[in-house]
Amino acid sequence: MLRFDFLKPKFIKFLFLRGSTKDCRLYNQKRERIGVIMSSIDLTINGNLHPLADVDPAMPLLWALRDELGLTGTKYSCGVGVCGTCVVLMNGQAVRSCILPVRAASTAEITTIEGLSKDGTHPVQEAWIEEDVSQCGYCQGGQILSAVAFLEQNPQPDENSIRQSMATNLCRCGTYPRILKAIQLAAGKKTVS
Amino acid sequence: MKPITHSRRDFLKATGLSASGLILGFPLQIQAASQPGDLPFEPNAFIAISPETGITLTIPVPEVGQNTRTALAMILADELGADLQAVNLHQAGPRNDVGQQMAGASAGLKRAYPVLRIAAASAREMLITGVAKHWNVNPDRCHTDNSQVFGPDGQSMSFIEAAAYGGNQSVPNAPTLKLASDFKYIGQDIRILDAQEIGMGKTQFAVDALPEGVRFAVLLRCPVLGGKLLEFDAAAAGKMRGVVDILQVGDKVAVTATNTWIAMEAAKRVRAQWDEGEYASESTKGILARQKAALDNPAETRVAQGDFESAFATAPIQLEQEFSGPFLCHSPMEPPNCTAWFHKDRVEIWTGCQSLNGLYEALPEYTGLPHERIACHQLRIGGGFGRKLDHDFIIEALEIAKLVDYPVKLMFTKEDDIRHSVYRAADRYRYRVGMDLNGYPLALQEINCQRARSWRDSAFTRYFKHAERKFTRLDLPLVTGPLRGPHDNVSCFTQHSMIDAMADRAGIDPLDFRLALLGDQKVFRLLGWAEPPAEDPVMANLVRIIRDRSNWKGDPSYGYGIAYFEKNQSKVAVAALAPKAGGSRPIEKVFVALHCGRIVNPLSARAQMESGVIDGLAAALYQRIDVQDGRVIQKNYQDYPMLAMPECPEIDIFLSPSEAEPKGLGETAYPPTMPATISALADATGRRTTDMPVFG
Ligand code: FES
Ligand code: FES
Repeated sequence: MLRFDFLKPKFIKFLFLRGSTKDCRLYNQKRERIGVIMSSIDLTINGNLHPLADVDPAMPLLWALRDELGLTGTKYSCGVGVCGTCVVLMNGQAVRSCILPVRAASTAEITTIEGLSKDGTHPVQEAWIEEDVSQCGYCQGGQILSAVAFLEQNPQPDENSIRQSMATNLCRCGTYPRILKAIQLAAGKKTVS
Repeated sequence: MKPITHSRRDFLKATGLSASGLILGFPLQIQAASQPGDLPFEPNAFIAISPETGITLTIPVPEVGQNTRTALAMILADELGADLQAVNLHQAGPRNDVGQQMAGASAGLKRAYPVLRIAAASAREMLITGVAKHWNVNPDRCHTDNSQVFGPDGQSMSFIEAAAYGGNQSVPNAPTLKLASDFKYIGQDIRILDAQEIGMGKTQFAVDALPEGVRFAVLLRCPVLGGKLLEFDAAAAGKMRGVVDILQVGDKVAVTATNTWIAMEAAKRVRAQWDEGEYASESTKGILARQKAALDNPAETRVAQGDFESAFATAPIQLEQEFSGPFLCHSPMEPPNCTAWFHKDRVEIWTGCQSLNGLYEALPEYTGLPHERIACHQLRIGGGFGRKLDHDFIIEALEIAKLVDYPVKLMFTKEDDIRHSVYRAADRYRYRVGMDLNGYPLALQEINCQRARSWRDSAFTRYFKHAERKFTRLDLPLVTGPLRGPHDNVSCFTQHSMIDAMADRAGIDPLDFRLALLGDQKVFRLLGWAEPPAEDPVMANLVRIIRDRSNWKGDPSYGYGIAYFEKNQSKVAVAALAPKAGGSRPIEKVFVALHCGRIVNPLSARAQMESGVIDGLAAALYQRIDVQDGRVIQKNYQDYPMLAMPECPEIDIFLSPSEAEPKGLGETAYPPTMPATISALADATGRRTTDMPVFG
């Protein structure tokens, strides 16, 4: 649900600065905000409704999750859609929340890493533990969700298609060999069950 | 070195835990210089066993993904007789009473291993003594297992219960350590204990600290090192909704906002004018010219052995070659960040810092407050690689936080991270080498453009009777500092490239040539050398292992490259295989053989090897930081690439068994992977890269 909420006059403490480099705060001036249209947006995340008031609909979903809602499992790294750290599921598809405007997420079911399973027993999460994938762990939420979405579409992938599908999920610690094994393991488990 | 029972109050204060039971503090670092009796009281990690804490181990060392937490828990569990899954881990912040608190130099586990064993063995003996008294049985006939004390007649008592009896026993002088054959965990593949939390997105990284009322900040910094802020116009930025403050902080401008995105967007709209200062005309090209000039006229001779000039002048074969490595930055996935909150008379800090000792000492200066008024929370680090040894991001967060009355989270955008890093210094090496007609090394001169380290650190100079080392320390337009295997990650490439050049000129296979250098009897005799230039049987053995496992030069469709590296007594040999037909992976297979004493957790040792190899490949193939007009050009992963999964090679790892004390391993595989990669590509294509990276 997207409601426009035209420019509620709202004063926030605001410092306007111009001038010499000596002072820290030059003067403090209250001004009316102009410019963007702020909205109220309802997000459905991990099955729960989260109303967001006074939000710029162009803001990427990542920051709504992390800074507004405190769902910090989704991580920031590149901010331009090239690393995959910030991946969430939108209606089951892997999307990069750092470049997805929050308005585009408003009508969708969003799943973050916190909501993938109640107790960490999603087959992909289990495979990740089994193969001892994590090092620092920072990229792993995005890796796991990307793998989940990929396996949904490709239940029995070959090695090459796994490698290609994960090509833009970077891991600075270099956990790729184990990510590969974990995805293969999760795929195998799926076919068995 | 003796564990010390901590006063319960101290411990509770120190850790924020509440407990009534057995509490043991112990120094995690043995100070070689002091007499045991003189050691100051320096408890470094704590074991607490009580109903409130369960079995808790306080981890002094920052966790950056090297998995020290799991290894320390394994050591504790084994010596104590605890069930590993029952060990709780508590991460320590910066302190002055816990010895070494650095995640760097691959040193965490090496230092901790002997001390933690003694401490845990002491705790075990105290539990047994206390409970044996209670049961009225001979303590020698009791033992521990599965977090319980067992008596001679089938009695048993959980550690938690036993702690009430063990807690007031005296600390044994020389507790008996377990035999390696009795270890349940050490030496086994144990999965990272934090895995489930990480996989559920529950783990708190530094960047996840969100104190009540936090505002989000980014900083606008002069793109040129040392530049001064002249003036700035924040009018456009200030109009954005959600912007809270726009502040001048020294020569930087801080924007705080209700979320990070608004702060980032607003910062883009701040117009700043800089006096760019002395580095404004620096460029990669200019640096190269200065390097060349420095190599022609080195300012200092660091060390010399024998008489290089005359030995070189008379050598039948003379070689001269140059090799270089660019600036690199660490670019951890979690960019540098810090949250700080000045309350009225105290400050609270949340961060992920790799060097907590230095941080502890510096915090009063950074904050203007005494230690009692500083609370610093250390959280898990989303990758460091040396970047977070520096405190710049903590200092900056504090500077902003001092000006406002709310908590501030300073975030480096990825662009900030890449453009305002602490870079691996670009360096250039020139070699002059003299050999006899059999390829026997006679004379070496090594000149470079950074401070040269001592002979002791060089694996190369030991092969030459006549050698000298010269350098000029160039002033560089970027801040430089350690990156994974500091100092060595350029020289390992340059030295092994030179070794390859020598082998090539002498017509000797590069692997055989290295075996001869290292004193392999069969090989150096075969080459007609009277004596080996050096004797390093352990390294020679690793090279032979690599030869066999890689089926060295056995498949004509591959180019082969080899290198080795030694750091803090850990030795590693690496071979890379490059498909001659090309394809999606420049390097298809990598073979690693590691010798680093007893390996506490082989599963995580392998992870560290994989990590070093993948990182080394990215450095050899793609990564470079360039300077133009004094500024770093690269800005994100598109132009400062990481290796990605499609290019990831198969990695075969051999861990050589050893009974010796564990040594560090986190930095070992990274440096030699670069020369091995470049040699393999040279062998496959006939073209050798002398200036890293290959593609760039
Ligand atoms: S942070 Fe979104 S793709 Fe990198
Ligand atoms: S585990 Fe550290 S970035 Fe992937």
